[in-house]
Amino acid sequence: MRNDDEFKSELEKSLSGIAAPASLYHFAKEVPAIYEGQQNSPAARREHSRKSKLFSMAFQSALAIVILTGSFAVGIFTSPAFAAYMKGVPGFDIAVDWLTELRDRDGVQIAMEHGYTPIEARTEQFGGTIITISDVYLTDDELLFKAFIRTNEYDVTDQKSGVHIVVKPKNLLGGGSTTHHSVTESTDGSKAPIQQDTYKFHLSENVAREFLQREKKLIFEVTKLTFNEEKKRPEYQTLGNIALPIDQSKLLHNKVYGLNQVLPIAASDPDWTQLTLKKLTIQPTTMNAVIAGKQDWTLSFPREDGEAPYLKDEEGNVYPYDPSGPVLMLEGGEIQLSFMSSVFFEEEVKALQLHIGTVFVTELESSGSFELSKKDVFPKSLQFKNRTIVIEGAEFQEDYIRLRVRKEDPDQNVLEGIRFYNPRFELEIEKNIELGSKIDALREELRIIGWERAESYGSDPAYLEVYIPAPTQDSYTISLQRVDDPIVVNQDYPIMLSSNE
Amino acid sequence: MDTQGENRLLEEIHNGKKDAFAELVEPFIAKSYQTAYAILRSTHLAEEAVQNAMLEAYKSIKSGKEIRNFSGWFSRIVANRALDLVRMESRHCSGLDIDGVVVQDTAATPIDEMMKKEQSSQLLDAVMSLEIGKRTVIVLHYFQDMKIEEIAVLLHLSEGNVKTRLHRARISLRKLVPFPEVHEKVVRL
Repeated sequence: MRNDDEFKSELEKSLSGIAAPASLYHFAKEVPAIYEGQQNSPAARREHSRKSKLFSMAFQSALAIVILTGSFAVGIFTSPAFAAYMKGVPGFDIAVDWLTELRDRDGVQIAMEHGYTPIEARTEQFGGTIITISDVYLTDDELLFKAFIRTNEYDVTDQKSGVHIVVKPKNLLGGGSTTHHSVTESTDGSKAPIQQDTYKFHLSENVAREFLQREKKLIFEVTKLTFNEEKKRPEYQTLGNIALPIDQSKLLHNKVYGLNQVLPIAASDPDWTQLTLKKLTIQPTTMNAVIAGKQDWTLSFPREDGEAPYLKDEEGNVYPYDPSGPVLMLEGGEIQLSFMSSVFFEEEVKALQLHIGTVFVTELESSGSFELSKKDVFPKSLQFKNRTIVIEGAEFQEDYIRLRVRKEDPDQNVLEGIRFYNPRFELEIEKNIELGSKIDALREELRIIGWERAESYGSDPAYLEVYIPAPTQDSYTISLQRVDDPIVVNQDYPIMLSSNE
Repeated sequence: MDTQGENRLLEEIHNGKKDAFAELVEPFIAKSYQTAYAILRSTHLAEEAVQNAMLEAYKSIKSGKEIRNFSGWFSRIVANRALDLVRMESRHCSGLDIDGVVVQDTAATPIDEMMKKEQSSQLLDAVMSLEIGKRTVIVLHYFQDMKIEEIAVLLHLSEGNVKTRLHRARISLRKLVPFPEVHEKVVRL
């Protein structure tokens, strides 16, 4: 790599070695159904079409999953020898430390340490490929499993091979994806590479129950996906099925706490005084909390340390928010958060603490507006919620308005959480495809990343600028809406487990 | 895929043929993912970015948006959605300025990191070690073949600023990997 072209070529070569996960190819096939699900769900219909963020999961259309089964434990097989055996994976010699670390992350380790391995692993060979499905946990809400793959048909470490093995349940309907992927070496002396994928599938209400009434085996379909370079598309080959016997009597049911617990927000906010912890589901491997906001609003939570939510037990053990799987959006603006590992087997745990750092709130409709006229004199102050916005100037152009907004502090880059828009023109854009294209082209021409948000564009460091699509007229009503507005909560909420189960 | 093929698929998607969308985007998935990964340094966030881009693309096509060059248009969406996640990952660094943002791959384990390291080339290691602003312009320019003005729009920087950033990125890379001639060369723009 000695010049620009060689640099480019080398970079392309290096990056091309990073294989796209097979789940993305599957996702591409599911996009139309997801889109239609979004369009048809009541929550989605209310959601404003110009909302700034697309939810990134395949299950947005899934409606509320509320399984209010009671909690009852059946006998758990706790033989230490059996537990030790299950530390490995049948058919594979893998470093125990590596496997333990994997299992610590998804909560399988804690379940195994308590001897809970309700569905036995199974290994099958398809030509030169050996696959073991292990760590299978079926609950009322979810199916969790791992696939271990060893093959002489392609190099699992060669990310340019374009070959992926995908495993998915065949006789159990759920939506899911991989949540973790890694490769290790076997410890049998051959040092053969072994691929591992963790999968998580959400199950709708009653699906698990009906499955168990109907089926004696959980069948997984194994598909080989090979990217055809010539056709520039993947080709699918079903390798076969792997069937795992299910003994219903060995399955433990979730501990479900229908709490409806109010979580007061101490921080001053004009719209929010509380959230509600609707439900806590303690599964053998993970814990899920359903948080509700209020009608006509949506919530989201950050994943960064210091801002992300977490659960903590009485011993001080922290169960972090696990956003690796798809976020489950429920009806009515509720959101299900998944936390790593579980206190399922800790009988003495009577309470947990839920920490909420920051929550982002979005209202589905505007809640404020102001009148803007070509005759206005600036500066002009607006009051929106508990914030004062000072408009320092306005330019009225064909198809858009540009407002200069006074910075709240010199380092401010964006007026976070506030959307400025002209609702009537917005409707016109939605109805008129040509107008929509024109506005899109205008955005590119103006070299702005997006409309309707006040940001620092560098032309004048003293101000933020907001560009609003608008028709040419003498006066306007500009609507204001809270979108992804952060509320710093930073509070711990005790959750009593004993009385609500 | 040629333009005619793209246009046929766009028309089919618009008319409700569901398989057409996967057929249209599949050739671009790998490069989109690689771009998002290079920006985000996180496999999970990269997947999320590409998923978001696909949803947005489908929505736009269904709404009847006129798309002349799907490949270029989709690349910009992917880059935008990746940058969205960069900004979301660090709310403290708000707005479009992504410099100094550190994206944490909360789902990656040390094993992942080790595997990534083993599998990546020296150059890739070096690029990935750059701070996000430099890394992003390098990837968009050299891997996505974006023009300076396109990157300027995406990052909301002036064209001069993008050029400067590219130049500085090359200087940083020089310190990490041997580019005997490159570092002396002004970036050709």
